[in-house]
Amino acid sequence: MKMRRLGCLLYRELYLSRKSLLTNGVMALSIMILGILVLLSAKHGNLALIPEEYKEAVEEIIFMFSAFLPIYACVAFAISLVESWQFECDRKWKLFRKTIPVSGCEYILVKYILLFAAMGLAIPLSALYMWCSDLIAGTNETGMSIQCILVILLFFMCYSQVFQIFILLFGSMDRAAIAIAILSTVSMIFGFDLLLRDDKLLLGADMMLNDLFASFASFLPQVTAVFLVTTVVSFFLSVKLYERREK
Amino acid sequence: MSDLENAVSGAACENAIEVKNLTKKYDGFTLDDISFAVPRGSIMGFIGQNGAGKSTTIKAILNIIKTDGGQIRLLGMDHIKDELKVKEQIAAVFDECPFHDSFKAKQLSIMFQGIYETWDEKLFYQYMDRFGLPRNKKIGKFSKGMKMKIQIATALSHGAKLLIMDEATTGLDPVVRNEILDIFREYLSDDTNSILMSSHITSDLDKIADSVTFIDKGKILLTGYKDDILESHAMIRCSQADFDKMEKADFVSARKNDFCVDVMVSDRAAVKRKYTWADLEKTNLEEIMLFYVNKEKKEWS
Repeated sequence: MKMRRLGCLLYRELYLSRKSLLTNGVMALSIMILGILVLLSAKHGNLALIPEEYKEAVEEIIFMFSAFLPIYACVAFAISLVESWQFECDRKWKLFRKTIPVSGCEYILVKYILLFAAMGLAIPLSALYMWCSDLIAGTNETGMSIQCILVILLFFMCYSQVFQIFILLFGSMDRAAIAIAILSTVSMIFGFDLLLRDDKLLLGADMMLNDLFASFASFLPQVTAVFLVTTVVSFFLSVKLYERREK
Repeated sequence: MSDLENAVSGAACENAIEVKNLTKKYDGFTLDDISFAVPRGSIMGFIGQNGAGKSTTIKAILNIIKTDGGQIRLLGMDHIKDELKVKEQIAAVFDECPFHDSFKAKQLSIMFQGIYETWDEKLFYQYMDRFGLPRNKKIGKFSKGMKMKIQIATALSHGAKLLIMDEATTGLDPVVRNEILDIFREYLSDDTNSILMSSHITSDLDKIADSVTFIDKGKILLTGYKDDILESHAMIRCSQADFDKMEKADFVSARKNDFCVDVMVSDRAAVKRKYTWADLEKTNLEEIMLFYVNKEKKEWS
């Protein structure tokens, strides 16, 4: 495996997904800045002037949204690399790529390196944001939040890897999107069912942010195991699908 | 046994491409046990009508599709076992540009630097300038001719020893086609370089091909050196009465119209001896293809 080849293929991937990376990167940063501003306002600004009887509930909602939205923005940034996979559906490129001296392993490895690098960037970015929000809110939940971030990121990484396989399998972005939408719907139904079985988590007005974090964080071992299995299986499956010849 | 038939058996010289007994079955179409060879340093025209099996053969050669039988060797190597090694030394050019629309010459060059060990960036930009291709324009905004030229520029910039072209000149205007043919002549001035060029525009192959292979309905109808084929084939324009005197085994097929009959013969010398009255006219690849395609019907209009 040649480093120069990997470097040039990495360049291709980054170039093809540059717009998506930039858009989602800017969006993640903007949401983080807005989140910090909202938190500052809730602590020291106009939002702090809310009458006492509503204050606790409103603060909970603000903290929850300002905590989770940036994480989702970071997730969107990390998985925006999937954008470059749509070019694998292009009939002309699909034909041409089989005429070049690049092995399936090299080709797929490049895509995985980028996906993991983006995730590696999204984790500290989200953790930094959570630390800032802790500092402003005067809470100490960063440790729990990092676990939460990991659960969400790993969960979406699993999705993006399955999505990649669907793209290679169906050779069409649209068909892959439909397949992943069906899979998401089914898994969300089961996911909510799992969350609702948690006795400590009371959904409704009394729901506390800490409870939600704790509930999310408690799934970290399972999600990590699923992620590792998905990564290994999807990598080898992707290589096989890449090397597959037309019938 | 002709020189090209020797080449197919691998006896005459080392071949750039050797296809032996290639078979591929689809529903309603079979590539039926085809064999041909492209000797090194030559250009072979691969001729046939749409759906004859040209693209299927090329895809099989490039290991894009699974085959149901047969052997393929490229530059003396097995096309599956030595796939990466083979692909380092060949270049494929298709009728549609496969490069991403958002790429410019720079991005293409960076990508190919990694893909091909022998990529020559300087040579690539020289071809870009020679072809009058703008360096800072996105490929998506190129015309069809420009897209074809940039494909050829990339194909020639990594020292490929074999060019495989699938309908590459189709849809291009005559000026661009001539420019491209000139480039191929230059490329073939190196005796180790070879080209397999599939096309249904036989006039291009009349100009440039050393050998030709006719394919129809998945079968090879004729393969050989172009000059030999043109030399041995001839057209007889005769009356219906004269045509009736001819034996069916002596001609490929005959085209009838209200005034006369055009008869294609494949052994000019033998026909001249047997039918002394016949006026044998020179023919071209297009006519030969047309008459071979109707070989089964024997008489057509």
